[in-house]
Amino acid sequence: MNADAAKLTQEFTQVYRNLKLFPLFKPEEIEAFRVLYGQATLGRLRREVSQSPDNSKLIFTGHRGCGKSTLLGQFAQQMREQQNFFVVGFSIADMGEMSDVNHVNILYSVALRLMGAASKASVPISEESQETLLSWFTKTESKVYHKQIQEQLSLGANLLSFFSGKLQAEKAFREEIKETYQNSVSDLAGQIDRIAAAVQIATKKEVLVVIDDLDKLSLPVVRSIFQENINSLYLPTIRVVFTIPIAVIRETELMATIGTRSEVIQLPVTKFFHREDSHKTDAQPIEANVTMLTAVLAKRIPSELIEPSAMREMVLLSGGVLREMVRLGQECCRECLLVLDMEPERSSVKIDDEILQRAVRNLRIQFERTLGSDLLKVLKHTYENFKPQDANSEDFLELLHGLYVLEYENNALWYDLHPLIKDLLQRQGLI
Amino acid sequence: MSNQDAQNQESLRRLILTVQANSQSLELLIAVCDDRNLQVKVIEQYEAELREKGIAPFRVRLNPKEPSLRRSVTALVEEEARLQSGQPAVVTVLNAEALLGVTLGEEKSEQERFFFSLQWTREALLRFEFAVVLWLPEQMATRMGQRSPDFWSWRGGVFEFARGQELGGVANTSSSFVSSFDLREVR
Repeated sequence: MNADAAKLTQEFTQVYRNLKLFPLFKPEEIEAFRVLYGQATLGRLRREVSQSPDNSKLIFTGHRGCGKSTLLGQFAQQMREQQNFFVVGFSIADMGEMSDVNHVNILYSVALRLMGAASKASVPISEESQETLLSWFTKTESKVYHKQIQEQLSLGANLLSFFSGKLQAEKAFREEIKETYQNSVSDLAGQIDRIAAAVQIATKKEVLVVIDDLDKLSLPVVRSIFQENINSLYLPTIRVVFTIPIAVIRETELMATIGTRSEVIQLPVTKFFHREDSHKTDAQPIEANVTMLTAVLAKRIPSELIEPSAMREMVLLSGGVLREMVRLGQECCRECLLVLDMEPERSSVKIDDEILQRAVRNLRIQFERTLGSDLLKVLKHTYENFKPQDANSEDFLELLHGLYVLEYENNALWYDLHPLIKDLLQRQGLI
Repeated sequence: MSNQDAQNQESLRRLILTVQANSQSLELLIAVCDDRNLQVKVIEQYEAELREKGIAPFRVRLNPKEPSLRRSVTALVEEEARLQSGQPAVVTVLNAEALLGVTLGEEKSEQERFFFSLQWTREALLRFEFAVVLWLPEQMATRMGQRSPDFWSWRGGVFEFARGQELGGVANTSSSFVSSFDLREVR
């Protein structure tokens, strides 16, 4: 490989690494790559939480991959630093199995996390209170766990870490927790309130709990938690922000239950076209939104490695979903690396329209693989009418959940196909 | 070389280049193949090439009785110090084809349990600092997008391999691929 090709390989490798599909959590990644995105939603989240009663619950939702977790991280940081809240944020996906998530172990996790955060922040909680709380955490019906807990106590182990580890790793322990506390959920909520009160007295800060990744739960699990057990879940008199899958807010019955007890805030997909223009061949995109997403790419791809027209097209082909745009960028890098691998004497390559088309082809095949042919009719109807025949049907919710269909907001909601799905249907002569 | 053989070569090069680009933080790669012999050949080729480049290859098999990617890889990490060191590595995950799609009297089939567990693994997998290549038969790859949509959305690439005219469909050197691949397409 000549020096130019080697240098380009190194550069595209770095760009590939810049284009991560996972949320920005590490401070150095946030520093390097964050752009102002979803600021209106962030502001609304901040206002709702700050101005709401201290026992309010808030629901946060949005399409998969549109930047919810990154925004929630930013929200937690701002509430901590600017609004003087004692913020405890965690991912419910730390729990070992999705099927084991229920209102009881969500509340148990909140109690553990809150206690852990208080301990980490050296919040002075009286010894008496600590003993009461620990003895409450160690309440268990099982002799096996009782013995283990006594052993840990005698060894002077950190019981909170011990319980957190057990909760993550052991199905039997999660079942034990449910068994122990399901008939005394109000007691569980009362303990959360006691810990929160101790934190508030000691720090002069109100408590805010942010639970991410509940949107990864399947709809039946969400139904069980938010429809059948919402009263128990909402018992603690602290502020909590929950995430839920976007498909839930299209389920009329479930949404009726959630909507009457909590405010729902949605992070919308960035819209590039107004509804009336979106299917016109000469439609002009909303430049401010194109610019915003272009900034996300520009932070990750040096300008000398990409043609401006390809960058713009990459943004538009994302349909406004951040992760899909990043994925397209990754795919383009892979194509460039492939060119350099095959032509080691090459002295230049950059992401241009041709590379982009190859990347699009690769992703279109992946979309096609997972799309059942029985869903094509639903897609066609949605495209032609900007809405499905039945927004509550399982088929439509699956398409929405899988990003085949994207939901946009004007004064009213409307739907369009992901640009790669639109391309797929056009190629099949369906639209 | 048939068109299918050329496509297999292209997939192999893409897979190798992707692992080379990111073998020190989590990279979830999906390899799709229904042909066991071809699968073995492809794995041997990429492991050999990556090893030469300082990327240590490891293999782990899914356990049909406890079909969880997280648990299988975690068990491997606990056994292999190198996978705890942050040094370049790739873990190939095998045996998905052995997972049964029928329930046999249980509430969920092995495949269903596998998909269910995948959907719930982002946080746990993010602790891994290496590339993971999960081999799936076609039918499972298709269902994964439907049954584990979140996991599917974190994929760093999908690489398809199908039997061609030559044995296995993968030639022994990349040069034959270079000559057969129409470079003009990508210029």
